Amino acid sequence: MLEVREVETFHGDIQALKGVSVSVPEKSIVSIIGANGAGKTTLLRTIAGALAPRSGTVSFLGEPIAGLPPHRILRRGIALVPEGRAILARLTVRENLEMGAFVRKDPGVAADMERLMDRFPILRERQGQLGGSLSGGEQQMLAIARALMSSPRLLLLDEPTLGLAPLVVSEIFRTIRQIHAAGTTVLLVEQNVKQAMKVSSCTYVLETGRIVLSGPSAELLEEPRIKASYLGQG
Amino acid sequence: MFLEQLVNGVTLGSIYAIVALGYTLVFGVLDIINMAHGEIFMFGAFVGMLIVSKAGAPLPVAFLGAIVVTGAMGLLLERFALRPLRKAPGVSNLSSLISTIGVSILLENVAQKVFGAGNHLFETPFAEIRFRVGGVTVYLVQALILFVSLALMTGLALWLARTRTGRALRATAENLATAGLLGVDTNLMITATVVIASAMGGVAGVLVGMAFNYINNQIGLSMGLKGLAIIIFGGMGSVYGAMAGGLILGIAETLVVAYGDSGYRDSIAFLTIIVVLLIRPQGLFGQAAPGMRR
Repeated sequence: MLEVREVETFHGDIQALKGVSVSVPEKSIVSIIGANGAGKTTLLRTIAGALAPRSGTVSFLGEPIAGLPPHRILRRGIALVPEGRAILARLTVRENLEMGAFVRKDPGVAADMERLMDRFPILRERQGQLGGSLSGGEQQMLAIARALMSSPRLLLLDEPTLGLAPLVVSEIFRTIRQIHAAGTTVLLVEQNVKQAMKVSSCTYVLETGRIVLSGPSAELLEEPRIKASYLGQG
Repeated sequence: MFLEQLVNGVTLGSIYAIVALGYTLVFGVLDIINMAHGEIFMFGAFVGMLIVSKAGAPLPVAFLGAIVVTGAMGLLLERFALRPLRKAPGVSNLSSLISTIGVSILLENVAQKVFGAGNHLFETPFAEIRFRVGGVTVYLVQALILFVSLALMTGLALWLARTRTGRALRATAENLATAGLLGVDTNLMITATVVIASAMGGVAGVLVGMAFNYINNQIGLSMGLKGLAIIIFGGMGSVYGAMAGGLILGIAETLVVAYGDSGYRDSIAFLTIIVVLLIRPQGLFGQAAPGMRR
């Protein structure tokens, strides 16, 4: 579904991605793990069009999308839940959700809003409040729900559990499973390595701008290097 | 007497509010003060003057003409003075500010060359028509100015609050990057904002012509400074702050001229700002936490 080939992205003179290739099959959950500064966020932002790669290709459903502006990529069905949630603090919860459907012109928006509010009852309860007044976990739910309002085929999640309490973290992972079960493909960037690998079928390990390891998550969970560096075992 | 002064003040204040709205809209999406806004406003006044006094056409044509000309000026300003700087890497916000100062100097000189330095008569056919409402004398021109500016403010507020595009504009104003990720064409939004803000300046220009009957190529500078003062007073980027600030300044100025010394007229704006900022540094409607912005 999504094919990232030999992508190189720069922040000014600093090269953040040094030839990264990632493949996300339709209806799968793929996770990308790695330390701070490895380039995970840069990779997601490059796919979503917030950054343009200097070289390499990104193709989605067989068509090249690298270098397109974010709004064109979103229209093709890729939605990013950015790191830090990026809730519009001065818009209400409902307006945030409506902004999620900004690119849609079909009549199904109202029904989708109802469905999402059923799935996240806290958002229905708080729909008239300003986005900035929600707690961290609620904001993350809102950020995910807002991305789903564009009815994406591929959802990019950038560290959705960062800074959240353990109970909320399990809720987020449960939500990711539900989204996947409903037919949306997910590309997940996480520091919560164990849970990310358990939820995904395939994992890529990113270190200083390069993919150093990749494969089925179940196999990588047994890999000694992963155990030592990311799972804190032996 | 007091009520009449109040009507004068509200009339003047509603024009100030329209000018300040132009500043605040652009500041909202671009985080810069458009220093050329006052001069664009002046061109609106001159276009209105040419249409009404020279061509003898009716007022609605003057508004339309001013909107078209100043809107186009906004488009050119964004395209050639702001966008190239926005795309360039490593360019600070300050460059766009300097760029708009350059445009404002250019426009003032063009106006001097084309229209000359003196006063121009802005004749409205019904300048002397007045009527009495409950013991208060109101000029038709005043009623018209109030009607136009209130309609404009209400329209803008409703548009921002209720429509899809208005919502997208608020999202863009709060966070450009996030709005882009949500599918808003932020370049288009910025262009639209600068065009709308400039056209509002153009309308305000015609209103000032109607209110004072004389215009010259210096009105951009003084009105620009007052507009600037109002948005600092009302809170940078706040739409309601611009409206309230404009009205308060208009009323305060008029009352000072009526009951005090007219020599202090223009200093009132800046005195008010100093007092307000001492008490409330973020302005009347400003956001207290700067960290919320970006």
